[in-house]
Amino acid sequence: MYGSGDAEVVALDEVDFSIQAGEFTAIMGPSGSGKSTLMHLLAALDTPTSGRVLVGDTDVARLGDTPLTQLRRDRIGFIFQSFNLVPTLTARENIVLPLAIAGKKVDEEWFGTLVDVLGLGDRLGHKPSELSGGQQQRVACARALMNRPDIVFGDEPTGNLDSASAAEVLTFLRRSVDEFGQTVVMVTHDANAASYADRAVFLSDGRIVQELYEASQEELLQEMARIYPRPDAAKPAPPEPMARPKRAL
Amino acid sequence: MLKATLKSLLARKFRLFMSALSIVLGIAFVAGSLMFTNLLSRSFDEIVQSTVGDVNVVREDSGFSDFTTSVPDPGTLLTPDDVAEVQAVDGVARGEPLVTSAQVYLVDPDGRLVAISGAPGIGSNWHDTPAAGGLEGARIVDGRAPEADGEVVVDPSTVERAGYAIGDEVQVSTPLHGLETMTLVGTATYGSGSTAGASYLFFTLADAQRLMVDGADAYQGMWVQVDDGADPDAVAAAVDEVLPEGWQASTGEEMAAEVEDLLAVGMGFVNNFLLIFAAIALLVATLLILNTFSILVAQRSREMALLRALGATRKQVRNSVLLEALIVGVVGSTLGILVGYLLVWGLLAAMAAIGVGLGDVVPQLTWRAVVVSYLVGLGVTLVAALLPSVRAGRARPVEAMTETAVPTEQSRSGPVAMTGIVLIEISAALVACGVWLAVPEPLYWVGLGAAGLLVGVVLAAPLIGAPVIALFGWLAGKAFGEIGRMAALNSRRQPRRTAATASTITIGLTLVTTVAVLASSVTTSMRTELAEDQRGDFVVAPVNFQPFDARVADAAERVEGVDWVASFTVGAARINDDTETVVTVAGTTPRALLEGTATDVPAGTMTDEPDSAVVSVDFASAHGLGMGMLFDLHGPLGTQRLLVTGISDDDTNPPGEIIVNPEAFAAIADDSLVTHFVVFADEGADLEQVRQGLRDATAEYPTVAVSDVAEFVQAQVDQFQQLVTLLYALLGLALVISVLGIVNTLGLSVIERTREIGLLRAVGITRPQVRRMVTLESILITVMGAVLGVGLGLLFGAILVEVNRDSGISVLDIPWGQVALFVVAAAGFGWLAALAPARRAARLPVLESIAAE
Repeated sequence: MYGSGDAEVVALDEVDFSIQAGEFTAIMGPSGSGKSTLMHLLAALDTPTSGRVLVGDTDVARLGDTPLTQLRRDRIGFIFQSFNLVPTLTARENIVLPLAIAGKKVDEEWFGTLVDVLGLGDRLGHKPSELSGGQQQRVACARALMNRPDIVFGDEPTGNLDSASAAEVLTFLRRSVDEFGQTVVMVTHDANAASYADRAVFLSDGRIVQELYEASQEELLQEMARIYPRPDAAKPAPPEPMARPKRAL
Repeated sequence: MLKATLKSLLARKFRLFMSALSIVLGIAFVAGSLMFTNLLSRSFDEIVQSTVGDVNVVREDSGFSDFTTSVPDPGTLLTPDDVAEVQAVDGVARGEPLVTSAQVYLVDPDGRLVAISGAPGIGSNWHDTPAAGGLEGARIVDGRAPEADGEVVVDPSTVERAGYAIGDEVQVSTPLHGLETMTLVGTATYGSGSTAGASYLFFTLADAQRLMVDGADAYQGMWVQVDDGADPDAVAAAVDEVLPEGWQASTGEEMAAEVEDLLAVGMGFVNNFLLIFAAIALLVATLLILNTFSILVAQRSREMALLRALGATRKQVRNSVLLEALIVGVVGSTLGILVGYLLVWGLLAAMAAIGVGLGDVVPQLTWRAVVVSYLVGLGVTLVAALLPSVRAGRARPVEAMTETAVPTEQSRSGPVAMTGIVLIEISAALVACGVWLAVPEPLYWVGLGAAGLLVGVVLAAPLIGAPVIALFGWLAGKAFGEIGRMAALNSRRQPRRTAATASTITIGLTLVTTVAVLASSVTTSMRTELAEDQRGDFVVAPVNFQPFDARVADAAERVEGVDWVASFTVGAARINDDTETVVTVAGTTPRALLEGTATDVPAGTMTDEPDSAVVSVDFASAHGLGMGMLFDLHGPLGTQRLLVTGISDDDTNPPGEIIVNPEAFAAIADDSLVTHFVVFADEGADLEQVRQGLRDATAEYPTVAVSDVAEFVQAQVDQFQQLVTLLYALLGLALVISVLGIVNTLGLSVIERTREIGLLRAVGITRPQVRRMVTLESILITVMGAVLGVGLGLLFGAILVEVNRDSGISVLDIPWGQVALFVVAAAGFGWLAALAPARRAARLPVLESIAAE
């Protein structure tokens, strides 16, 4: 079972990459580094053309569309950069949507907890068009966590937000890991966002080139400058691809 | 700029295709309706006009419909000299003398007349002179024309009913010479072949004169064809000059008008109805096109904003929009006209396949259809295309460029919907005035109101359709859970679009439901009335209304299974000293009067006493007769003193102002002939057997027909059914357009909601669920359209029944089963329309969808 131990995913250039349960991982890299592709594969949104993607014991590549969809519905939560909500549904309806589709009962206590933590109490009856961008992303956060997924994926979840709203969303993700034991993976190119994570993974040209734990924003920025230099600058030694990332935990 | 416009046009193939498709559909509906309605009215006109010539010479006192029913006096007929004079008139190309009779019937191998009770058997000399306006007159269907004496040609349906084949020796019943044996050499008919129940027999001129005017070389009229280009009015006037006293020449147009009046079908009504349908088709086309363009608005706005940002002037942008609309409009309208033309052919073929032919009429690309189609296609397209450019012009370029393609929520109301509501209110008032107030020409009030109601409902559908969507959406939610609920929400998010999409269904079902209610009410009323009027199980009556031997009634009474027979004799007499007034006296028994007819005797009754008489209330008051008064009745055979013992409310059944006992009747007039008799079968008797027994009993009298009430009702219902079928064809047109329109709109909605569908797929909606969601939305749209249409149809049906209460529709009978079937069928069409869009939606790749603009 996925939730009981490590979630092992084999992806991109035969690089082993594991996500520890209860850990907040940030995948970093510039545009075209393959970070979104990696996340889409991890999140069972896409199937690899070659190789394997294992979620727990399940080989995602071998799943048909419907089981794959159900896997997403029951075991994975999503927060996209924008357009996270169904415009016809209210905030509450959006939050419980995956459960409603699956025909499952809503755990009202858990729902209440999420809404409290996210401060959405007075917004539940509103349609997305009546919510601010930050509120919309917080509703998306609540939806992602509502069915207690094994893992939550964020694809630049703060990319469209002002800094205050971004901080709210990131703080929530951090809290969900610390307080609820949630596993979160977030794709970002923003060092500030990545600094909320336990572990930052750097991608370059489809390979994992570096990994940092508990890094501050400063450290992350320095590392980024080192790994992704301007092409016209004096060339430092190219970073060695890491065949086997060290693990701190 | 021109180059940029054309480039963008080609680059946006999809947009081009969708907008062109909406125009094609809308215009196909308009052009198709106009052409089909033109076809219908031409077909009706031709049916009538093919039975009259360019100019017709007829007796002044007899209209076209008045066929001679007895042997005409040769002195009153046209002579060969008269005919020659007419033929010599300037402008006359061909003048064919006519000899006709309405009492010539084909006799079947069993020796019975082949005729429908009450319909004439028209015999005439054969000629194939073209009919009015160059239409084909009489034409041979099979075999050949009669060439030698002793040869006869009969209309195909009569031959089929009699069971003869060409070449058979057949018997013909003639008014002067009884049965004649002749050779059937062919079948022939007028124009389209619709005979309205009459049978047609054609002979050589010599035979016709021998059989119908007793061999005199005289004629009862002429059928004149005018020279090419000659004015029928002028020729008719010239012919009129040379005709002897008592004769006149009328043009085919005048005659046709007379016939159409006689037909009482009210061609005007049919034409108005078809015009209303065409007008509604126009409205639907407009909505359809506006709808599609409004869906593409965001995309267009962004593009135009980009052009503006790059430095194009407002005028340049506008011109590029107009040019695009012009190209799309012209292409779409042209294709639409062609598609409409093909649709009409398809409808004709479908109607022919189910046995409702319209004759030889061929769909025509009429000027009206072409001009109206282009006007609508171009006009609406230009307006629809300009709206976004105006909007783009108002917004700042950068603003418009960043505007997302997220579908905006529409409000239900709006100027259009409010106009619809106002129209509904005014129209309802008109209808109410027409139905309940004593206004002049109430039918016009009602007709205008009904048309307004229909247009108003189509316009206001976003508002008044909302409760329907809410109800069925709730049901969908109950049945299909979250997926059903989301489908309902989707169908509600753009009420105007939903309503416009559903409008074709609404209109089609309004028409069909109206007719279904009317047909069912007419049928029920007829049955009820006949059940009230018609007593007994069978009516035995002569097809030519000539009284027949009373012994037939006695023979009928002895047929096995017959309980008793109510027979009626009729004669003429005078009362008291009044030698001027001739009264009609009917002779029958009290039981036959009270049980065998529907005539009520409110005051007094008829007794078995020989001097008992019942007089009609009108007659009694006109002649100062009252209950208990005595009067003398003078007949050809003698005089009888009678006592008024009862007053009846009706003098038509039996046809007589005075009804007396058989004994009294025998004393004053000949009682050896009866007009008709009513047969009452024994309880539980085999009616088929009784009918056969009655046919055997009347075998010697081929003119006497045995008919039962059900048969009579069926004949009336069949006639009505034809109109219903025509309207089903119109519904077919509306349905085809409707399904394609829904495919178009749903397809666009799916594209528009690409990201949303991607999101739903990402959070766990499976492909079958997406498909179900789109399908349910489509079904909701059609069901809403159907419910509105059925509702309006029921209302219209009820109004029509109410307005026609005086003219024989006494019962409002709503065929609920049929109505429910309409709604279910509409849902089926919704499912059909959703097949392709739902498939497309389900197949959308998750990732690209989420990333889509």
